[in-house]
Order: sequence, then structure tokens, then C-alpha cells
Amino acid sequence: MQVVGLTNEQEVIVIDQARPFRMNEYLIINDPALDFPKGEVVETQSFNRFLDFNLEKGIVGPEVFKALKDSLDYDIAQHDVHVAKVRLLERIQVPVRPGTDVREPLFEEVSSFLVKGQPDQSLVLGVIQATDNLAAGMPATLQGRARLLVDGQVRDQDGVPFIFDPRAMQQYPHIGIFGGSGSGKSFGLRVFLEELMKLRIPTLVFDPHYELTFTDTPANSPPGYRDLKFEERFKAFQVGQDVGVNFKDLNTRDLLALLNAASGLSEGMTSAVEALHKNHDTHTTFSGRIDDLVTALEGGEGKGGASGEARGIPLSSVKGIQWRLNRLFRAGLFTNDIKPIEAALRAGQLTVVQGPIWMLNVFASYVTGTLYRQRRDYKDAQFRREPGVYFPPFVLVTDEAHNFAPKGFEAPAKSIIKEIAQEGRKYGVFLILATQRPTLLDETVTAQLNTKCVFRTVRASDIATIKEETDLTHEEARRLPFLRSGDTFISSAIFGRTVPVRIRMAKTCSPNTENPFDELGEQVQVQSDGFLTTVGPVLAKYGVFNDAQLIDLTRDLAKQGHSYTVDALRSRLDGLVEAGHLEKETFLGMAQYRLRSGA
Amino acid sequence: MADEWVMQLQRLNGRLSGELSDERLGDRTQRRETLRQIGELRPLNRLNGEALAGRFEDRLLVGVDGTINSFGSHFPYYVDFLRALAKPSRGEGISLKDIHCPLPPEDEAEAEIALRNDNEVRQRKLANLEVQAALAAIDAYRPAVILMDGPLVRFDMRTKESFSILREKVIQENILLAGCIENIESKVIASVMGDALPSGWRNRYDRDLLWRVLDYGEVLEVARPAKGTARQGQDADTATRIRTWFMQSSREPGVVGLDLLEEQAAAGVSWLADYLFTISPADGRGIPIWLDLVDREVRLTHAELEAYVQLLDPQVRRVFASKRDARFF
Ligand SMILES: Nc1ncnc2c1ncn2[C@@H]1O[C@H](COP(=O)(O)OP(=O)(O)OP(=O)(O)O)[C@@H](O)[C@H]1O
Ligand SMILES: [Mg+2]
Repeated sequence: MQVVGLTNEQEVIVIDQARPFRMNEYLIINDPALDFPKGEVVETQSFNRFLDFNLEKGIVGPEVFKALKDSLDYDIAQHDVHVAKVRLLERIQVPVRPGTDVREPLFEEVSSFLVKGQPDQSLVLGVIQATDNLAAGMPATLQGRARLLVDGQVRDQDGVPFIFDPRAMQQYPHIGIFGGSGSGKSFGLRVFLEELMKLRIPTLVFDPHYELTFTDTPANSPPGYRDLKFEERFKAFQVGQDVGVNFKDLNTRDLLALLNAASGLSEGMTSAVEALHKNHDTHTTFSGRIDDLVTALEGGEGKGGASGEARGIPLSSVKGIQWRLNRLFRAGLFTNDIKPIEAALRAGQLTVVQGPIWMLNVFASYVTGTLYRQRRDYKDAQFRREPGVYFPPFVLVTDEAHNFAPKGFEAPAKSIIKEIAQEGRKYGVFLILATQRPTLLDETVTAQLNTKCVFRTVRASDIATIKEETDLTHEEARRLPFLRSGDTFISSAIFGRTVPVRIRMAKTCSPNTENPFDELGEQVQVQSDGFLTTVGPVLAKYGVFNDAQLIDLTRDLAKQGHSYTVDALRSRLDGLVEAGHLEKETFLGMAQYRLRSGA
Repeated sequence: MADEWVMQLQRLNGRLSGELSDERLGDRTQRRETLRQIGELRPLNRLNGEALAGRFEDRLLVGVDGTINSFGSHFPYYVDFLRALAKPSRGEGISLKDIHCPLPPEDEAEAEIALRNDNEVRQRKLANLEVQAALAAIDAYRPAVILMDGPLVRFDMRTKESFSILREKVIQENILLAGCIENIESKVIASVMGDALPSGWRNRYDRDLLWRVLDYGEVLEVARPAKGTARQGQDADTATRIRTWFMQSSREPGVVGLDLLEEQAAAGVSWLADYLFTISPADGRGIPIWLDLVDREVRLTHAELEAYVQLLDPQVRRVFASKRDARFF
């Protein structure tokens, strides 16, 4: 390997005849005068001067080279020349001299660029690409830290692990996870969360997809790979069912946000709420007030008339509020509170909050606001040397982040997320935000994400945003549309550059990874089984029956309380035939059914 | 007013199309019949795996090519860089270099020749360099086959002494020597045919007689030698005699020539024609790929030439720099 051509202080061209270069592999320029500059391959090419592409000259067919091989054992590939553009990891004072020898590095020569943390105290997220030749020289503590899943096959760690020390977030806070559909965001997020659980870092997760639980283990997971009892380190809560809003804690603004989330509020309704809601209202007092007002407005003056401040509020607005309040109440939002969430976080658990996105958004705003305030109050008190109630630092995580903090318009949780993005670092509250559409994420928030994991991205506008918001080079950005699921560029202020990583195999999996079409098949099975139990006894009475008797059959079934049209019955029976419970023969153009024994 | 060029071109066209017409030379079928009188016209066999594997056993194929690159262009103000390469199918190869410059003349006689035809002088040097490379390759590799780029007669004429040595050596060591000719300029058919020559074929070039006459993958194995001359004081028996075969080895119209030593051709080397056909790209120039590879390797790049020229002192270099380099258009 040697340097050729025009060089400068940042980049050199390296050629080698022995083997092709790999993207992102590390190389050392063997020049003691420059203190052995280190570089990373950012572009690769191979060339054979006998196999150039020249339409005018015509193309030499492979059979000619095969004949040379067969007769003379002559291999044209010996003339391959491999070319790499190598970007130096650190600037040097003068350009590298052409002709300088280049070699593969030893692990310790590049370890400071690759490893920035202790694996036991950090998030071990995956393996740095093209570092397999360095792996042998790694200390034992870095070996066997992660497995990889490639084309469905489990592989051992084949390179240097990518280690992210959460302590570094003190200086460079917040993480973004970007990538198109199916690029590996959720999978990657899961790995982040597993690692946060490993370190018992209190984490609050909003999960609109109901996928972030950690009980299940992937079917192909090698024995022993799941080394922690994740089921003890996380808690999942459903909004409305397990957790909710303590109505008393709501200020008017929160309440407006909640009602608005249930269904958009008109201006009249907004001012009505502002007029009617009082501090320390419970759900009972507030809804009672609304109900009374409705009755009063409907019943004219009856019942002593509306209270003073309610005068002039149109009935339609009050009814609108009533309807929204009921919707939230029926969803269970006011039946519970957020105490279980607080408790889980205090216990250092990963706390997953699940719910439909419309509700989650408002709920997130409420919970995050409350908890962030607790943490902030504690830290501020500490700062003033006053006693305060302890609340731990925590990490806030959400998928579909562009719904929570959208660019260009308001959303309930947006202001609190923005506040954490800008100030959270001071209080030890950090964000991990995943989204398919970085372009739609609020730009103040995006700008605060000091580490960005960029997965496969195809949309040009998103690529443009990513180029603007990260230090991805032109070449890397060009590769974005072609990344495999699970491959990511991690652009981090902590590393000072972009590191290509394959996210490790997760140790857990989401409960609903079942292929939806398999699920359909199973449902059909279940349905036809159900059908069989209802119609089975009636069919058994008939034993053998034909098309013409179906009408009688429907009548008999109707008597049992199961009503079918003849057509519907016929198609259900065909289902049973397919499932193997019935036999069907067509005889003289007429279908004849026979119940299988044992069915 | 008629353009003088247009008129002259019309006349030229008329003359040539007459001379090359089927009426004059015979149609394709007639020509093929006539050609069969001087040798076998047969389809070439594309050799495959097994036939190929056994052919060379462990011996090599060597391709020989030469090149001249010049610095400066006006006589006598130029330096020629001559290089010959004998490239074996395994191993480094033999690369020989020479410099030719008519300045200053080494002696009166040379000055005299140079003045008349310096090009011939350098061509002789090059031919000799190629033959020397072939000889060195024999010592180094004892190959099975040596392929020269161009007609063998070129060496026989331009560097007779060393070519005789080569010829004797290959015969003695049982090495097949062949020359591949991309642009045939010979009149082999006319000379070999003797009395049987149709009157319209008198003095015609082979390429004109053979134009679109052979099918792709056919060879005309001419059965008699046509070329070669005796060395001074040598009798006709030991004189160089060269047979030329013609092959349609690519889909491009126009045949290529294959020169063989008479002694070796007579012993039956049809397989060599088959082999060379097998390693000639169908869409190429019709010459075996091996000579393409040698050609690529022997050539000097402009950068290499520049680097060597820098070794001359500036005031010496100035002598060769032509005014051309400074002109505007
Ligand atoms: N690190 C990885 N190793 C192996 N396979 C992976 C990895 N990451 C993702 N995959 C594969 O790609 C599939 C899609 O990944 P994932 O569900 O994370 O996509 P996504 O980016 O969240 O997409 P969406 O935006 O549609 O939710 C996974 O089911 C898995 O099969
Ligand atoms: Mg996802």
C-alpha cells in the first residue's frame, strides 16, 4: 500500500495491488516525520488496466480470459489495482509525500479514536464497521461484547465495539435517531434502552407503537445472550388503564391541552374553560360545574341560574367541553395518576408509557412537565443549599418525535421538549428522540441533539436536513439511501466525527413482531375453529348433506341463534373444507359435504 | 467552378472501384475456390478447457512487442526512447531499452544513411531490440511459443543476423515462433500462386483479395512459403523461409496474418491457429489478447517520458524542444 497522486493535509489517495480496500477501514500512513497520521477510507475503487471500459474498442469477453487461465494459468486479476481515498483523522501540517508506505494499524494505534468509554459503564450499541482486522489486538474487556444479526444469521462480534459513555452527555447532551421506514430505528432504540437498563439509568419512554416491552426474547437468540432480567428492570403502563392525570394537579393550560387533544377546541370553548376552571378543581367539581351549567342553560332559568362568571357562555361551547371531558374520562385518563411512573423512575427502572398517539402527546406533556419540574426544583434547591425532595436524573425517550415536537406548529409536548433540549443538561435530563422525518422535527430541538444516529434515508429533503445537521461527508450522505437495516452513521460531538456502526442484535424483541399475514392465517384458523364449535353439532346431525340442503341447514342454525345466508354458509363451509374438517365432492354438478370423523 | 479535389476524388474512386470489383477479382465463391489452390481453407476450432489445459503443459507463452517514443520531432533534433518487452505468461519478463538520437552522427557513414532515412535506422534498432528480448526470454523461460508483434519478415529484413540466431535457436529448442500481423501489407497470395494466378490478381495486396472472403472463424493455411531471403554467403536451403496464414479471427472485416517459420509450419501447427483464435476477442482487432497485454505494458506514458527527459541538462534539452510546443494553434 502506498500514497500516490496529489495529496493534501486532509486527504490522500492510497493504492494497493494485493487486496481491495473496505469502506471506513483505518490505515496508517507510515511516516515518522508526520507522526504516523491515521486515516479512514472514505471512497474505494478497483481498476484493472486490461479491463477498462472502452466502447470504441469493444469489450473482451470473459471466455478469452478463461482460455488464458486454462491454458497458461494466467489470472488477469493479478493486474487489479485497488484505490482508496483516505481521510486523515487529524489535520497535519504539511501534505503527505507521495510514495509513502501505508499499512494497517494495530488496535492500540487507533483505539483512542474508536473507544471512548468502559463497556461496563457505557452503552455498548454495536460494532464499528470495517474494524475486524483490529479485533484480535483488543483487550479482553472489549471482546465478545455484542453479537450481530446479518441476513437473519447470528454472528459473533467481528470488530471493535461501539461504546457510548452516557457521562459524555453532560457536555454533549441528547441523541437523535433518524432513518426511513424499516431502516432499523426501532431496533436501534431497543438496543439503546437495553443498555440504559443495563446501567439502571432511570428512563421514561413514550411508546405510541406498543412495541417497547422487554419480556420476549427473539427466537434466534443464542443461549446466554440475554444476560439480564430485563423484565425486572422495566415497567410498562398504559395511559387510562394504569396511569392517568391527577385532575387536581392540572392548571388551566394543561386542561386546555388535554381537552384539545380529545378533539380540537373552538375559541368559545377555550374562553369558557378559562372562565370555568378553578385551581384545585377535582374532576368531580369541574365536571359537576359543567353539567350544572348545561342543565341551567338548557332549562332556562331553572335551578337558580348559572353562577355569575358563567353568564354569557353559549350552550354549544359548554356542551363541547362536556363532550370532550367525557371522552377523556371514559378513556380512563382521570381515574389514575402518575405515581406509578414516578415510583418506577425513582427505582431506576425503564418506564414505558403506552397509549394512542393523540392521548400520549398530551399525557407526555403533563408527565414530562411534572417530572422535569421535580428534578429541576431539587437541583435548584441543592444549588441554593436548601433542602429539597430528591428526584433522579432521567432520560426521556420517544419514537415518532416529530409528532411531539413538530416544526412549524404547536403540539402539547413541544414546549417541554424544547425546554429540556435547551436546559436539560443542567439538570441531568436528556433526550433520545427517534423519527422518520428529521425535516419535520423542530429545528431548535434538532440543533441540540449532539449525537445523531443516521440510518437508511431515501427522501432527499431528509438527506438535506441530515447533511445540514451532522458532519456527515458528501460521500457518506450519498450512501444513506443504500444502508442495510441496522447500519448507521453515528455523528457525534463526543467522537468529533462520524463513525459507521452496525447496531448489535437486540437481546429482546417486541411482542408484536408476528408477520401480519401469518396472523391472518391464524385468525382464519381460530375463526373456523369457532365456527366449527357452533355449527358442528348441527352438521353432525346431518352427517352427509348437499347444496340443496343448505337452506334447511340455515334454518336449523337460525333456531340455535346463528343466522347465516346460504351464500355465507357455503363460504364458511368451504373454509372448513380447506381446514380439513369437511370433505366436499361435486356430484352431477351438486356439491356434497361430509363431516370428517374426528372433527 | 468545379472543385479540383472533387474531380480528382471522382477519378480515384472510379479507378479503385474498378480494380477491386468482383468483375475483376471474382465474386466471393470464385475467390474462395481460387484460394483453395494454395492451401486449406478451414474453420478454426475454439479450444476449450481440456484441450487448453494440456497444450502448454508447464511451459510458457511469451509475447514480444516494441515501442518508440520520441522527444522532439524534427530531424536531427530528437531523442528516441526504444523499448522491447518479452512478456511471459508467468514471471517478470524481459525489458530491453535503447536510445536513438541522430545527433551527433557517430561516423560519416551513419551520418550519410541517417540523412537519407533515419527512420529506417531506428526501426532496425528496434527490431534488433525485440529479437534480443526474445532471445533473452528463451534463455530465461524456455517457453513453448513466442509470439512477435508484426510480420517475421520485418525482423528478417531489418536485423538479419540476430534473427537468424533466433530462428536457429527456436528450431533447435523446439519453440514455436510466430508473428501476428494486424495490418497485412503483403502480396503473399500473388507470389505463391505462380502460374495459376488469375490475371486480375496480379500485383494485388492480400488484404484486397481477402476482403470479406473468409467467414468469421476461418483460416487459410497457405501451404508454401512466400517470404524470406538468404543471408550473404548462405545457400538457398538454409535461407529463412516464412509461411503466412490468414485468419478471420474477429468479427471485424479484414483478416490478420500469421507468420510461421517454414520448418515449423511444415511440421503441422494448426493447433496454434486454433489457440490464437481462442484467445482473440471476437470484437477486437483479431490479434490474440496476449499481444494486447504486451502492447499495453511496453508503452511509455507521457509522464514517464517527461521524467526521463528531465535527466538532460536544460541547455541540452533545449536543443530538442520544438517550436511546435510554443505555437498558438
Ligand atoms: N441492527 C440490526 N440488526 C439486524 N437486523 C436489523 C437491525 N435493525 C433492523 N433490523 C431489521 O430491520 C427490520 C426493521 O427495523 P425497524 O423496525 O427498527 O425499522 P424502523 O426504522 O423502526 O422502521 P419504521 O419507521 O417503519 O418503524 C427489523 O425488523 C429487523 O429485521
Ligand atoms: Mg419503528
